[in-house]
Amino acid sequence: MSGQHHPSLEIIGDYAAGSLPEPVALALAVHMSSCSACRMAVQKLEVIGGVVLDELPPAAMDTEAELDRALSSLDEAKSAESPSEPSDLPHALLRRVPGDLAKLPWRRVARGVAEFAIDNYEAGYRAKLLRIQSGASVPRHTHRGEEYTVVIAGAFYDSDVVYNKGDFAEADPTVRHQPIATDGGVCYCLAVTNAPLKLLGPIGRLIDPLLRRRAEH
Amino acid sequence: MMDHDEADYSALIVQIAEKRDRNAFATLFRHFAPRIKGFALKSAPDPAMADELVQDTMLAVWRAAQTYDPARASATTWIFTICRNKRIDLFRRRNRPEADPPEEGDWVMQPTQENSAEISAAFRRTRALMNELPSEQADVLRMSFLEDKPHRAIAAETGLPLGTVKSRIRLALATLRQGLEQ
Ligand SMILES: [Zn+2]
Repeated sequence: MSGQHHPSLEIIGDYAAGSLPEPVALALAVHMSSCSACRMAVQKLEVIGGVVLDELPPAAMDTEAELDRALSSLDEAKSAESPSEPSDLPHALLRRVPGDLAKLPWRRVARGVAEFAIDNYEAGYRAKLLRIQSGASVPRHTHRGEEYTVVIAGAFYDSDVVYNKGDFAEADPTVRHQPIATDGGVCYCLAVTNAPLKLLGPIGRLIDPLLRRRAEH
Repeated sequence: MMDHDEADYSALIVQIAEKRDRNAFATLFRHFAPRIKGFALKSAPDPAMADELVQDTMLAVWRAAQTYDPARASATTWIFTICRNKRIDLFRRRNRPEADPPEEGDWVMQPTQENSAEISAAFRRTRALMNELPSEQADVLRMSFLEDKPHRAIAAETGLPLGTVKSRIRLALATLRQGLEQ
């Protein structure tokens, strides 16, 4: 069972409330697809929403007219979604990327590291898939904002901590790190950021302004 | 307030699931529709859109009634989750990312009487804990559930620093989580 590294209570709470930015919610949904503890935690906090809904004073409305409108649509109401193709990937992710990760148009960013940008669908956030070859490392970097990473397949380690499939990592501007894929095979991750990364080291300082310009435009 | 009626609302949803009972739907609609509309108006002061959220939510209740498990959520909490998801669909025009359903053997719960009673007790306990929170924490917690707003927007609306909003919500959630584990 995976899920040794869980998202913070703040993220769980925002997801229960419905206010978590969608790309972060995607990362959490991937995590929860293999973590029943966090699914249960969300369920417990959703009760807050039930209490809040229950306390609300009823708003003025023409209830009978709206009821008639609803009743007349009941028969057309189609039932549940069509079943989706079986896949190793969580469904939340399959709605955003094609199922076969190997066939994505990966863009090389460093030796053994490639990325695939998922559409830039919420202002200020970027979501991308990372493919890190066994033993390869992401360039050493820190962050200008928050970074949320969830492991889709394989594993990486970061400062001696190992992240396996389903594990969730949060980093902010206080964290400088260099994630490295373990020897166990290719590591795929989903990484969500709300500001460009800041590369460290001599080469990093050289190419950082270029990355930054690209990320901002 | 729900105490007397929550079990009845659960039973109505089960009746919809089992018998496609339109009268049960009407009873549920009359209770929840004005609250869902009030909920919608908190995020956007647009009555026409609020009426749409009522329709979307209640039609989803009709469609998804078979998936409702009274041993897992109270009627009001379940309808909150549908309404929250429909609000995201309607206002952001995107689907909410959801976790895959648990595999066989994982997360098993039997819908026994005992579990339904536990669900009602958890609801009352959550409400009591929320009422015991310092009002400065309870206020921002309610805002985050009601208004579809990230912490930054709550900070802008209340004039509080972002860090203060975050820490109040975090404290409130931690208190609730701890209180619910006892
Ligand atoms: Zn977890």
